[in-house]
Amino acid sequence: MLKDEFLRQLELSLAGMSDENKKDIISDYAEHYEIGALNGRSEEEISLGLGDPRSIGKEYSALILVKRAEETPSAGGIGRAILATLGLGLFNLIIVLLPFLFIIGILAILLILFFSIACSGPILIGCAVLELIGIFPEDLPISSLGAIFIGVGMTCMGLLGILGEFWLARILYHLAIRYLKWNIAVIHGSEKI
Amino acid sequence: MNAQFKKGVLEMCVMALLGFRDRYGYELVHEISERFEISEGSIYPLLRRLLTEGYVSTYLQESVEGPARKYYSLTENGIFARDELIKEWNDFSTAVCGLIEEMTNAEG
Repeated sequence: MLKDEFLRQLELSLAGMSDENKKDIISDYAEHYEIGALNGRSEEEISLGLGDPRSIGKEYSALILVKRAEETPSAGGIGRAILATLGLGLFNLIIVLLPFLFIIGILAILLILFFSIACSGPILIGCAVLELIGIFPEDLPISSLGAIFIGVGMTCMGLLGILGEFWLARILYHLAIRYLKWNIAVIHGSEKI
Repeated sequence: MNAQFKKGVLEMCVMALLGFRDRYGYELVHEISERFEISEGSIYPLLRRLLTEGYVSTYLQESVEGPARKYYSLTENGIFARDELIKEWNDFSTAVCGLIEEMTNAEG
């Protein structure tokens, strides 16, 4: 592969990156070719040494998306960062995607659980009040006053649980960023580095 | 050599080389590939990562021959990170070498 073709393929695989970043990255490789030529190496030879421009491009994309997710936290941002990191190799499908899906699953189950607890509190209180004033004929298995206390307790527990979950999600978000950074630092898509 | 294994070590080698004096990308590639085989293309993403982490800074300098070169220089944070990495590496490699030596002696 010649220099121009290498730089063209690299630029294509950097799609979605800001023009400034793109120019900066391309100029690093252009400089590499120029100094290599001064050292008497052919463009073919240098390209061979550099490796596949598309896998180099993927690495930059993952790098920048993880950085962006770190600076401006958002669910979409971390999603894109994870997808880009997945693209670094088949191996990553297992060691990035599985833990991520597992965490999302656990968070979703907990959220549903706490939400149901928080919602059933007011329902229980409502029933107890109706029973107390005689409108609700069905007997609750416990005294109406006891049911009101339990209802209040459940509402608080559910709300606390939801709050706790947001706090947990924030910690997990930072852990995920650290994990992705470590992953990019260690894993390389191609066989040879 | 195993690619995952080498990539982690590469970062430390780059920082060790920059600790001695500022260098440009091609020079780093050249220094390292004289000692062990690397894919030259992987140095530049690594340098960019070090740059965003604040471990290195860059400046352009004209050269006698050819284009201006982008020099990389280790920042104070970088020096700290390098020392940490080298210490971890030394502890690790001493432990591994000790284990291998013991087992070789036990066998022989």
